[in-house]
Amino acid sequence: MGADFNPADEAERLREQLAEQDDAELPEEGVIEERLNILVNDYSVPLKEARRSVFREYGDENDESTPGTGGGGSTQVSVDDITAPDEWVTLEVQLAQLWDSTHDSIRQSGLIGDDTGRIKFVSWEQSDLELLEEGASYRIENAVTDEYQGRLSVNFNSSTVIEQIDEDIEAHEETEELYGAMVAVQDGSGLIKRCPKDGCTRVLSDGRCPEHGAVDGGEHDLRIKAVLDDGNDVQEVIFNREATEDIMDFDLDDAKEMAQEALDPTVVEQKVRDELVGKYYTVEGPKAGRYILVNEWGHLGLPDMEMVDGLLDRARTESETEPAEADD
Amino acid sequence: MSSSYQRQTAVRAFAQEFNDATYSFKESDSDMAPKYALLPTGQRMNRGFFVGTLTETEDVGNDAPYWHGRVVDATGVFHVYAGQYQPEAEQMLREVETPAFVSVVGKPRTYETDSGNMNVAIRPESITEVDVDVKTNWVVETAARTLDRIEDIEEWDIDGLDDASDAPRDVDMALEEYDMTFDQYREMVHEAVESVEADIPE
Repeated sequence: MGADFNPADEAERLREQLAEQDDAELPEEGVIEERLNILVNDYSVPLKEARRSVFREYGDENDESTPGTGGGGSTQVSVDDITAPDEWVTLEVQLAQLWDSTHDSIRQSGLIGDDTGRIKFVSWEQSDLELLEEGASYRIENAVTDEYQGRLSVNFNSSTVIEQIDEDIEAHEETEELYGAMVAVQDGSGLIKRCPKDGCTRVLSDGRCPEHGAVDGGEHDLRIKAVLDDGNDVQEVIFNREATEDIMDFDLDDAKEMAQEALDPTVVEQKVRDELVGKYYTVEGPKAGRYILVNEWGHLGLPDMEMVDGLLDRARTESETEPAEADD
Repeated sequence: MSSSYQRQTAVRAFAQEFNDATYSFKESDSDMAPKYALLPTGQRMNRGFFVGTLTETEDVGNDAPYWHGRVVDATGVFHVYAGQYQPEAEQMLREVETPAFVSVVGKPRTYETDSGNMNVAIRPESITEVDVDVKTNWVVETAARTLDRIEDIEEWDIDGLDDASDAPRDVDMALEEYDMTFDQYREMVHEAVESVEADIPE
């Protein structure tokens, strides 16, 4: 996209390129332009992918070349070898994370990774590829690298061949480490219920799912949404059930019991708040949106003497730090 | 709370400087606009994180309970007041046995005393009993943050420079509103850090 996208110009250029192909069926005037417009402006499809889409629609089916690439020549690479757009690559990766589809033209998107890193992938609806499963490992031949707003990604297209492999590939996880005082435990922490509808795990509020409305039942879960603050920045963090059971001295069954006895599920949240707020913690985990998902946590250790001496030095006033030789 | 809501950082300050922060301001007239106390070292504070020893608690309310707690650090006393709108903090002050190390997350509130002086107190969001390590960490962290501020504002506090309007806004305001020497805050930090030296492992 960007300011320099002029659908009429792009359409004209594509028309010329299509005209060079022997078996291409040229659409009527304006059709290409409209299609580009819809893809780029209505669906936020990157221009490069929009061009490809038009080419596949109207171009010679046997001609694998697409604008901006030489076609063929896909080499197997590691994720961190991907440094430029418009390269044909073959990867062996784990599907680390699937994202909710943001528009109709995308079949699947998310993160794939190997032991060198992670990268976004997009599988377009039009390419009609098989649906991939989170956690599984795949060999992906003939994907094309892309760049959008400075971030690299990998696009699967109709010539991409995907095969699930037995080898267990672990997607490298980029984690952040930080410390801070826990200054708040937010509402919606402790014992929660998740929507029981297929594939939906949203948290229910008064028995209502934000997506499905009032639902029966729901699956109990534990989590903590909290705020760490080091005096310079605030960072929201989430403890999942495992991390919550680790930092608290109760598990999910205990929590259900507590809630039943009190006839009030928020007693669990209050217990979490009483235990955690006002103390220092270190946490480590991957960043997801504005949250850090806590994998590891600990109590902040004491500072060492070197740090303390450094502060005492810094605190000295100007008059105290004047050179001593003046006395000689 | 909308997703665009940006939570205010909990600023760190020792009791001596906190009690000097008698100037408060808002950025707009709206009732929802956050209220800030201005620290003399040039930092606005809408929320703070404080640690010290709770030495005394007392119900000072007339009709409804209104609990006052004295939280002492190496440089002075934080005054904490909790009433019916801070039920958890109020309950804590009512039930806790003093002395105890406590951490307090809360908002600064300035008020005028009967004698016409401006005082600064904390309206707590939470009060938690903690161990001595939390206090030690807080003192060292607060010393570092305070020295950062002192070093920044000293850059702008030069004799003969009567206009610091190029300085960061909070620094400019602090130089305007207060008549403090920063050496006294350096001494304050020095004292505070010395007070925890014995708690640091060799």
